[in-house]
Amino acid sequence: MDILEKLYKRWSGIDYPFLIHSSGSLRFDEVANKQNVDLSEVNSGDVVALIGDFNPQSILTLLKLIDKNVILVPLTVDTRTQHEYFFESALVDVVIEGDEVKRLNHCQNHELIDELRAKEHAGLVLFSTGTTGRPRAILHDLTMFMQRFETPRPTLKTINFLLFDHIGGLNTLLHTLFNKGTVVAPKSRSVEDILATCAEHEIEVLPTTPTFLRMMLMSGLIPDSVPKSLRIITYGTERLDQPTLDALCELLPNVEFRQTFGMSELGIVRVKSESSNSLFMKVGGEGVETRVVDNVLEIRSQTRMLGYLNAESPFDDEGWYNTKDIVEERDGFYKVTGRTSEVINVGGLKFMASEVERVALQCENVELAKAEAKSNPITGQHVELTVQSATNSEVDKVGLKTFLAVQLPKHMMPKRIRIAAVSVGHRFKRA
Amino acid sequence: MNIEQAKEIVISAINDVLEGKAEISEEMQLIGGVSLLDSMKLVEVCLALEDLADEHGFEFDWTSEAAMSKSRGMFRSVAALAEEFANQSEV
Repeated sequence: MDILEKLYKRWSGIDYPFLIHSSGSLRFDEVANKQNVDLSEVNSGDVVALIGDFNPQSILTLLKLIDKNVILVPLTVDTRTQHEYFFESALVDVVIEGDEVKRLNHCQNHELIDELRAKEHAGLVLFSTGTTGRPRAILHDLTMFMQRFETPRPTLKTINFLLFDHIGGLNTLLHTLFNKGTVVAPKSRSVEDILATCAEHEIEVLPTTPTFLRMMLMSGLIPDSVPKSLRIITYGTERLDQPTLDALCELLPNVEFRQTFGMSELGIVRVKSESSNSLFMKVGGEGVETRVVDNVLEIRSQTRMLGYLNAESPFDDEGWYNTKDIVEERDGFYKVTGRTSEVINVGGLKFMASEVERVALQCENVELAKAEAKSNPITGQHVELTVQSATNSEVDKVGLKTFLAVQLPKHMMPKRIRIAAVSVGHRFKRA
Repeated sequence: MNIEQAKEIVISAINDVLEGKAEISEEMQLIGGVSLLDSMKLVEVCLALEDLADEHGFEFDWTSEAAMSKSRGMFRSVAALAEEFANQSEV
């Protein structure tokens, strides 16, 4: 590949930055002119772990490594305690951190890596952040992945708080570089900082999670602190509830709300929301097919991963991937109503944990809610609910219980309610 | 904890769940046709007993595999549940 050369041509004569962060900004010529890390010991087909971030040196090394057709394993210092496991799972040959290039000795091989080497294609290994079992090493054909950037597409000024070791983060970086856009990295993920960054840099697209949107809604900062430049807010990685979306649409009528959906195993899939205030979406794009089997969404994608390096393939014989997302279908649009693993069965009556959470979130001063199934020998399972109070307020437990008793059928009523912090994932699970 | 204390605690937990609407006797059935508690309410009683056991410094186990195997006996009557509650307080 000749990525650097292509990018050099595209950015020739342009002096605005492609990346703005809290301590400065970065123009493409700063990356291109950065002192090279000595990659003479790195060979085409090597599995290379690059420990870095969105800084000039890491970005330059990343681009050079793709040009060298290596199998790239992007990592960050945040996951350092897991690095040994990652090196072993991905059969890493070389580790690069800063200027240091270190070769590791091992005598293992993997047929999927051998196939990539035979084709002289670059590869990309990402680790799943699932809640069960150890992270899985997801191998993609990076040469095929890069083809999406051949066609120029328009870019909007966007905030990116995705990480260096995530498919969404890399996709945004490459999309921005190939299409001469600008991406802004915010100082923190607090609602105040994000909205201030949007205003300061006239951000047009704000990618978020439903948790962030709920907090934004409760912050009292909208609509007044939302700049006019903001045209699109995207949300994904968890399910959003309709009351939150309705409230946001009412407060921000000029902002388009778009849902995103995807997972590292499938690559990037294109999603179109039915409308700004709808949770129904069309999942598709070139080479992407969908079907629903027993209410569960299955996807077949040409941009899917080649496979896991440390687990069995999750695809069936025809290449379909079971997303484990339970969906409702309407005119070709899907609405995710839960995960198969979140079905709660109380005395034979099944329902989704999210239904209980949705109702709990409508109660005054409830900021976050997590409903869980607990096993018992009487009804098989029952619901336990944890709620987190909004800042500077307290949830009235008795009031919440009364509210839930009115709103929920008896079997869905939480048998135990705790007021405590509800943990939220520190990173996006999905692109 | 002796059996009398356990009976008092169990009766009080059932009373709370039934909101004081019924007279509770030691012989009262917990599962079955004449029980005043339905399955959902029985779950609530057990969860209340979990909390009360915690206050008395022990763990009331009614959900593990071992507990499940004796659950039929345990839920036969108020007295049987109180006996199990007292036994677990001694472990």
